[in-house]
Amino acid sequence: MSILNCKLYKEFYPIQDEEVKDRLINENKNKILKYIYYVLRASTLNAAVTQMDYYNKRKNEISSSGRLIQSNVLYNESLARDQENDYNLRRNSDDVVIFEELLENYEQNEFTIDDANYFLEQYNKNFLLKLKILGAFICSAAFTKLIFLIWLG
Amino acid sequence: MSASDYKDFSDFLTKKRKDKKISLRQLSRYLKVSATYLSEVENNKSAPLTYERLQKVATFLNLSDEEQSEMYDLAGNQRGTVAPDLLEYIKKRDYVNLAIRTARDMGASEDDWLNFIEELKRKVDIK
Repeated sequence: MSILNCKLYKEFYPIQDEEVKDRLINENKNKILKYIYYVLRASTLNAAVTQMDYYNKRKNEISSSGRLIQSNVLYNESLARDQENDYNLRRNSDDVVIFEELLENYEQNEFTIDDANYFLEQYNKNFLLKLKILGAFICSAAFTKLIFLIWLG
Repeated sequence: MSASDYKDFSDFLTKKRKDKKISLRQLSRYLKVSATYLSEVENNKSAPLTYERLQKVATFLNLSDEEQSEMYDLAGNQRGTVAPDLLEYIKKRDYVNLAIRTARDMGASEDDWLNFIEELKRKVDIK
């Protein structure tokens, strides 16, 4: 287990029995709900923005004179294929349905052990990502400072 | 023969999955499809799963023989074809088509068919 993992993950993961799952829920009600809402909002928004991008890229298939523009039809078809294979869009759309179900289970007190483990995995992944961004920011700041000091002599 | 308790295949899949406390995430991972696609199938926005995937669903949800038949019937109905588990069987046997056509042309009733099934079962028992 990595020492960088978040506290919640280190303490509970992997959950194997109902008792531990209940303890996780009782002690972290707000944290769980806040995270589920956060992912739901972010992925819904991201998916909508990406879909809108694809929509805006579409070209008119009918000219002003009412003629079918074959090249635009082909372009739109290829755009539709790109949209279907867009990894980020697929991931965000998946997150929407998965977290909607997670929220439903949580609100109806039907949060399973698998749900709890999935929550911990995602929560930790998000924590590590933030840590990575922070690390990169600190490194770049230190590097800039070093360059500046060298420049000053 | 009793009518199905489920509206359609989507209804069947959603209810059975929830009854067995299986999440959309777990089933989609097992079937190797995206959760979005599975959710579309459950919400009747996509056609029912293919026969291979239906077989996997039956295994994962641990469906009884009766439940499996019901699932195949519902999937077939929703696709507007015969139940997917029968397609291969029918395709490989011309006489099945002949039997069905004959029954249709002669106006065979449900009782006639049930008698025919009983007869087949009796034959198997004798063997």
